[in-house]
Amino acid sequence: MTALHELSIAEAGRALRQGKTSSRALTEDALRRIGSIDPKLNAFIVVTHERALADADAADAAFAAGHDRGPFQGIPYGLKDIYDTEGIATTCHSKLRQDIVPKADSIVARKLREGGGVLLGKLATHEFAIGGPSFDLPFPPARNPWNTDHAPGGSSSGSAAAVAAGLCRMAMGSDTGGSIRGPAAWCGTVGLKPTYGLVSRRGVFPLSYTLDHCGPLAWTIEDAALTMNVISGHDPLDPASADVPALDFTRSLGWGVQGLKIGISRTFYEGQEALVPEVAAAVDTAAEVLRRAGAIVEDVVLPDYDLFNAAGRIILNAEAYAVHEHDLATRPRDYAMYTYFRLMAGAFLTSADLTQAFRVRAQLTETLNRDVLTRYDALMTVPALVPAPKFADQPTDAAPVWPIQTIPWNLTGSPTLSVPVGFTSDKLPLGVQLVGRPFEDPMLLRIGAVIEAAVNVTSIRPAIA
Amino acid sequence: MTNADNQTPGTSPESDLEFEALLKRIGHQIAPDRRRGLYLAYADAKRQAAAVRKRPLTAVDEPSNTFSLMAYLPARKGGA
Repeated sequence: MTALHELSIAEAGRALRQGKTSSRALTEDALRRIGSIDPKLNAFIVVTHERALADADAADAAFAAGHDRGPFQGIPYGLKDIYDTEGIATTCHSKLRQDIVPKADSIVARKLREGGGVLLGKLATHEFAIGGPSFDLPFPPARNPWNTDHAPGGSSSGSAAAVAAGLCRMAMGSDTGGSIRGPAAWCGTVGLKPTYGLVSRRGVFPLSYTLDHCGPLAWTIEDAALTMNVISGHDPLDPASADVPALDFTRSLGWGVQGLKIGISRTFYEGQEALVPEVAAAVDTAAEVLRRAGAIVEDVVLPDYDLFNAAGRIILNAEAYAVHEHDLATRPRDYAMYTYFRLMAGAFLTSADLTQAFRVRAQLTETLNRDVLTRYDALMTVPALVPAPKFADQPTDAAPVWPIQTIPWNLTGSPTLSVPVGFTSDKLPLGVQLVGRPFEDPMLLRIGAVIEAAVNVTSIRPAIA
Repeated sequence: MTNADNQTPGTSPESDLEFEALLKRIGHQIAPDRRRGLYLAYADAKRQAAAVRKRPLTAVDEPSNTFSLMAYLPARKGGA
């Protein structure tokens, strides 16, 4: 018999509806696992025991009464601790916000609650979704379940660690420069950064207004798709929200990739000094899977990675500095050292720097969507040049710079999916990054499902789990 | 893991002067233990600013798509 924590959202949902398990059983199992495993991972900042059990009992009562509010009814999940939760502190993993208790849920938290989900707790993040991994904060950094000497990536570090360790099936993350896809790749989970504007950011602490995206980390592609069916949709009070027809993220999951055309942006990573060959080999593995399934996969040349990176980082740094300007001036010592260095970078930019970055952004977005993605259904590349790094390798007097390759797609707002592919010889996860056309997120999940089925790594959990 | 830049204070007098001038303009009191990390952040910002200027841009290459009045269309507000 499959252990409860190994049931996907889809499988658990079927078991709940067939009366084979209850939400209380799923929730108590998750709370037990968190109690025994999380002290080694620090994935959770707070575990909401009472709320979880109350949510679970409400879900079970709803099933008993014949009410079904959709795929999350009775399903335990976690939220990165930058999502506002009514009556529960939202700390952003920071000393500056330890006592901030929101009066209302973020839109995503509200949708998951109204959908009958069970909130297990709030998850560790890099401070304000940018600092870290830091040891000079009120809460310790999350650790990688595959090897706790290694970082799980960031900033959605707790979300990735919790999902990989089987503490929850889905955890919400946020992604401004790669904070969903990086941790997903380094922890061996699925991570979707949806098209900009597809998921409301209202009630989620901002890092960079024009680059912030909310999205799920999940153990399976189907679970990510089910989550998107619940959390996506237009929000007139989020200025970036897209007023587009609702998408069905699960409908095309089994359609395969026969005849699809997929480009590999090899020039982004080949020849880079930091590149670990196993990382590049994972892309080749995924490409071969897709070829065998009938896709046409060929190399494509994009504008220079450095240009995407520079424009993205200027915008991120400028907007983040604007958010934190007052606190940086008045409470600099309340920020962790890494956070302080990263946020202060925006103070050294000029108005012309930012304007040039926005001009480059417009050009690159046009090139990508008019010249490249009219010829390809999707693109493939590495999520990072290296597997998960060790904590011990972090510098002590400057912010670490991880060679992740994710910010181009924040710049263009493109939907982007990180899919697990395999492992390094040291048993650290490897993934591939898929990039699609705006509002064609289901296409990425469809392609990801083919890779997931072929590489069959969802049956492999870290030893700690 | 690599640092973005090996540039450190004292290797470029011009950059050192600009760094000090920017700190003065910002008006923050910078603790001595944070100066080197901050200098690296400054050097990195300078490098990114130079990189975006390598792309040929003309006067018509504008970023106005980041600002929109679509939410204020009369029909959406129930106007005439």
